[in-house]
Amino acid sequence: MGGQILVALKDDDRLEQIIPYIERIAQPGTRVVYLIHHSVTGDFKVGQDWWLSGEFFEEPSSVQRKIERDSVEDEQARLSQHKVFLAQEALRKKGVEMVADVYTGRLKKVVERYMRKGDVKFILTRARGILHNMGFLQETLSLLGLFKRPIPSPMVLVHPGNLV
Amino acid sequence: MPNQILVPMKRGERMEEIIPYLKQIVREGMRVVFLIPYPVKLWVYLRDHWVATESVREAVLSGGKIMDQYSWEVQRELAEQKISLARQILQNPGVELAVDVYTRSLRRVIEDYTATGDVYLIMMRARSGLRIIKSLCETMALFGFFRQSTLPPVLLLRPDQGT
Repeated sequence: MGGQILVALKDDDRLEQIIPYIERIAQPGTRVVYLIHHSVTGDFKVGQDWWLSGEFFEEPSSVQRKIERDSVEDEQARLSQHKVFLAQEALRKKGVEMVADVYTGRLKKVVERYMRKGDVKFILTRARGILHNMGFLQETLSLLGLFKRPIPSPMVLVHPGNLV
Repeated sequence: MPNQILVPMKRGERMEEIIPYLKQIVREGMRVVFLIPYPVKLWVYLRDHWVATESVREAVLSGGKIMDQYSWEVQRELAEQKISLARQILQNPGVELAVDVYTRSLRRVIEDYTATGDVYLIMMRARSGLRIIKSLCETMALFGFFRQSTLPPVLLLRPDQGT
């Protein structure tokens, strides 16, 4: 079947809630790419302070900054890989390949990059702030006792194709 | 294993917008149920049944139209016509397509379906001004060579969510 499914994750997204959706939409041979946002706020602050302090003109600090940034990115990447590993087992059996892409910029730019390759089947992300539209469904399902934990958001699926 | 995909559709929603999603998701042995509301609202019903005309012939004609509009059979036929495109495109002997014209609230209908434990996924068009969706759709349009007809996103919901 082939093709890629991009899964845009945010910090508060729990992969175990998203995996079942992927199981339902990913066909064997599909590549699932988790787009994991790496917050650079702290790093930016270092850079900002460094800029204002006038150290900008001193060369060695750039090397130091790079080391700091790399170590933070390594840690983030390790955590992300662990998350992906937990989910991998269930999907691997279906012949679904999974990779993590840790990005720092805007999601739109990352999606653009993947779109250029042209084999994106879907983009999947958690629906936020959409529960007022879905209230009746959530209520129904919770009434039936199907939700035992706080009700998670539904997912939004975007198809890059056009009308048939 | 649950095998039904419920697709609640509102009047005016186009089948062409849902089919590309289904095409990628539906597998053999599945049943796709399009939930289409029976288009009756009380005030519309009362308004439509108030036929004021001086001519008996016109009154009979108007009556006939009303009968058609509110006929269960006619509405089922219209619903079948609506999903005929899906039948053409998703033609797979292992996939069953069904239409359920309902009069109750959608909530009740979904309750009935989910109670059987047979629902794989609920899929419906997303109608939200979420920034992330807009942004993603813009990106899609950009790489679709600025075609206007980029597909609207859909919402997915699992009935067993959170268990």
